[in-house]
Amino acid sequence: MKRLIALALPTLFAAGLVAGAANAASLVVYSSLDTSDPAVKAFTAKTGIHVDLVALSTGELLGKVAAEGNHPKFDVLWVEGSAVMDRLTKEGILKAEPGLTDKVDYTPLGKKLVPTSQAYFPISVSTTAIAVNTKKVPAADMPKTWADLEKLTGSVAAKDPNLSGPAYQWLAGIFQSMGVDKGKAELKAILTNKSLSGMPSGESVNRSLISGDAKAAIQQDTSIYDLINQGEPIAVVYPTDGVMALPSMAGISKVTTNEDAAKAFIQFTLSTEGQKAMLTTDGGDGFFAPVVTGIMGNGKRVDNTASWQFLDDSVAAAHEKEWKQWFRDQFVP
Amino acid sequence: MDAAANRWRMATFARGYRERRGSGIAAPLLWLIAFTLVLFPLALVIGQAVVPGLFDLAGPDFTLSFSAIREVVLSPHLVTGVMDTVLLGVIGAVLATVIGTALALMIDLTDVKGGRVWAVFPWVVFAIPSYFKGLAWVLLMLPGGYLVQLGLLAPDQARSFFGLPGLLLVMTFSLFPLPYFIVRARLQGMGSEMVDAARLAGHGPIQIVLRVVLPLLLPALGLALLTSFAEIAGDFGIATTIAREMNFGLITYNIYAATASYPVDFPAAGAQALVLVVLVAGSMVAAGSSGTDKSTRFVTGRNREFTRFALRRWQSAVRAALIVLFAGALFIPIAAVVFRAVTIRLGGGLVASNFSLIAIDKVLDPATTSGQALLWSGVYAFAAAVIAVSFGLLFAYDVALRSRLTRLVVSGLALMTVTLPGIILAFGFILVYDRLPGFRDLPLYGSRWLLVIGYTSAALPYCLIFVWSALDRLSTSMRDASLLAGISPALHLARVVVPLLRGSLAMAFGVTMVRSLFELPMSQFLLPLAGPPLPVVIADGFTTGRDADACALALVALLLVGAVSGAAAAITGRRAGQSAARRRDQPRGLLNPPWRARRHRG
Repeated sequence: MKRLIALALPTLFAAGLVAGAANAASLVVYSSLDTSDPAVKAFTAKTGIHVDLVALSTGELLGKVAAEGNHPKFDVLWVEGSAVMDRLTKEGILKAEPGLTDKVDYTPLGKKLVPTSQAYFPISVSTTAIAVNTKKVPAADMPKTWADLEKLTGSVAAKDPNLSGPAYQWLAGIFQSMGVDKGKAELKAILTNKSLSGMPSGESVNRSLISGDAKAAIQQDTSIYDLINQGEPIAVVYPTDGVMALPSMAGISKVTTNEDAAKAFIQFTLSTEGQKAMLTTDGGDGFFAPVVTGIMGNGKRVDNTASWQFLDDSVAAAHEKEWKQWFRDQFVP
Repeated sequence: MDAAANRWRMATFARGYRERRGSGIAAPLLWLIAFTLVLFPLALVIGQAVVPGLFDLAGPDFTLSFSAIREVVLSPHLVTGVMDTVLLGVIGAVLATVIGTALALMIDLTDVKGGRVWAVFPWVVFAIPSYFKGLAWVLLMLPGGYLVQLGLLAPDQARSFFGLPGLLLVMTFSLFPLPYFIVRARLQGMGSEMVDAARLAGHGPIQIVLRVVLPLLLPALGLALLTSFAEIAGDFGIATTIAREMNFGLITYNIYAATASYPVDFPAAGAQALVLVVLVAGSMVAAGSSGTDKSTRFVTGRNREFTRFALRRWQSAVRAALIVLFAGALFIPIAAVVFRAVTIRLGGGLVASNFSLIAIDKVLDPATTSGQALLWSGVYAFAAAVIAVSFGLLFAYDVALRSRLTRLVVSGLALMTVTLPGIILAFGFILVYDRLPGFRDLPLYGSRWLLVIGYTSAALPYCLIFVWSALDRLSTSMRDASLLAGISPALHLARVVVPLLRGSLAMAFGVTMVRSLFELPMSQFLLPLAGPPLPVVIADGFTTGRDADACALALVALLLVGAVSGAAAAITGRRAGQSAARRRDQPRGLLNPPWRARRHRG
């Protein structure tokens, strides 16, 4: 009996592992967005194409992509931030797909976000704005510009761009709109409290904001709308000196063997059906601004995307290591 | 007399032969597998500290450069990380050793009631992953966390927890089992003659502990301090949870930060890993040169049980202290996880309307991501434990039969591997199985198999240490007898060693399975395409605000582990039918490596 069990257990286990490997020919999507899960399910339901979704936080996912180097295992990579996608394109990881989204009914903002390389495509968009705890900051003292945050110095929370793609997009955007030297000086004046200035995740920023440790936070607007939706005493402020569009971008691997399915997946996410599926996402990512006309965002989102600015991806990608290092040395304990 | 001398000479000769050849059980293959599983992936990452272009996209560049190491030395941020790690390591090691030693003395030298139960708890604390404990303390101590909601702390008091004192508290609660194991092993091997003599001379318990027991324990205390320091320096779980929450930059977290972006800064990660290796190696060399590896069994060759000191009126106070200790280390963190698992919102208060079993239901539904993660992670952990313990036994047996130098080198490498954060090994696995010609052609990367192999590699050093510590206590006379009887090492292993080490192997199996079940870095970086394993779902839940789901999953997993362990212990206990013998067979210290193998002839 013992021998029978000893033989049966490994056999069952091996059979289970082999069964798990049977989907080897599936479409592989790497994503850091929660919206990818409903999108994948809706895509499979519509097309019958099985998708293996590898969902990790942006930092961990990009670390994995970096380690895989020029042998990427994804067919589709879908993350937030255009600078990193630009870099991946230049390094030959992503493949140009001219005309892939020609038939997509993009919003004016969506059209502008499509890069000339056509190696990656906007699927949704958000931005980094100012979240204010309305119990801590009276209405009269609400910041209106990035510089106004100096009045709340020491009580402003921010994510570490070294661990967050969206935070790097914001940092590069600040340097682009203000100039690098002025931008650095401004941030040094605002982010004077190291226990708040280099937080590891959006969730940590939210906790500090809700608890009142931080009176305001530099935060992704999707996350801010999520807090508002939960009834937290939080207001969103879009600084009048401009915010930088933060698109979630999807691109196809240069070595994919599932190119048709990969293209079909990206086109599906940009269809009305795909965008609506993404809007069913539970949590912050579900509060994105749609890039397809005729779709309304969730919650109390206002459509002000026409005024958003665009990042020069090449400049942001070229200075990524240097600017991240600077931020780490200045603001991360 | 001549015949006996001849037999003795033959045994000595045979032992010398074995030290050159090991067990002879497929030894070259064993060493090759061990190298491929652990050292090779680690070397590929750490090597980039000095060969930064090793995995350049354009092709490997073997140019030597020390710029990454220079950067570690010159960057204020990274230097602070090193200094913080050393500071935390030194203070944490002292605190953990004090508590671990006190616990061992209470359990082994006194008549404290419930001694056997108290002795089990450190194993439970040790088995629970440090990131789980870190996350639990975050839930407890946030300004909107449970202790504030219960009115036990003011928000400002809770806020002040997120600093060095709070980190030390959590680290100490998490780590005291290690010095406890080491000190207890020494205590049990010490024999009671000296204590009995002091007792007969009329000395009181406190005098005996201070003047007899503690001096005899000094080598163990030194070893406990140094190994605790190494464990703290290499801890990733607390560094990535509570230390991260309080922005206390430790080396292991800085390594994670260097690897969690695009492009990955492998040279920086490798250089910091190198610093970590130097710190750990330094503490090990210090342990070796300070005499902490000396055997305390010079007092006696036998394990005569101590006559326990009666606590009398101190009985209640000691039990209260033990309750406080295990409340902080075990019950309060678990309670926080239980509350979070059955409440809708953390800030929703402990009111009836905030309670719900939705998160638990999700875990118990095999169709959900959580249910699938639990199911498959159980399979992965079981498979990893079977492979790691089986291979660990063969390899440890081979190493234990070799020369002292070989044992020293291999066990030193195993200890260093234990203290390196798992992300280094996990990244090494990606580099080996997705980038290296030959390996990358194997259909492993992205499969469930590679995750099992990854878990096995991460667990192997622990397994080796467990098995060595058990082998260490087997008298060489049994091996001599087998040699003289012409029994092969393989047969000796199967018929003599394995039955004697059954309890230790079961313990190694259990610990490996639990650690694999919750192993985070390997799970993240070797995530199978077929679906995320349990640690990824837990970590993802905590970072995306779904902490109730994360806590429910962790809780159900822990309960299942507890149930399986309890059943296994009950079955083993019935079969053995002699708990005293089983206690002798259990590992007396995690860090009881084979270079200290005693050659007494029992």
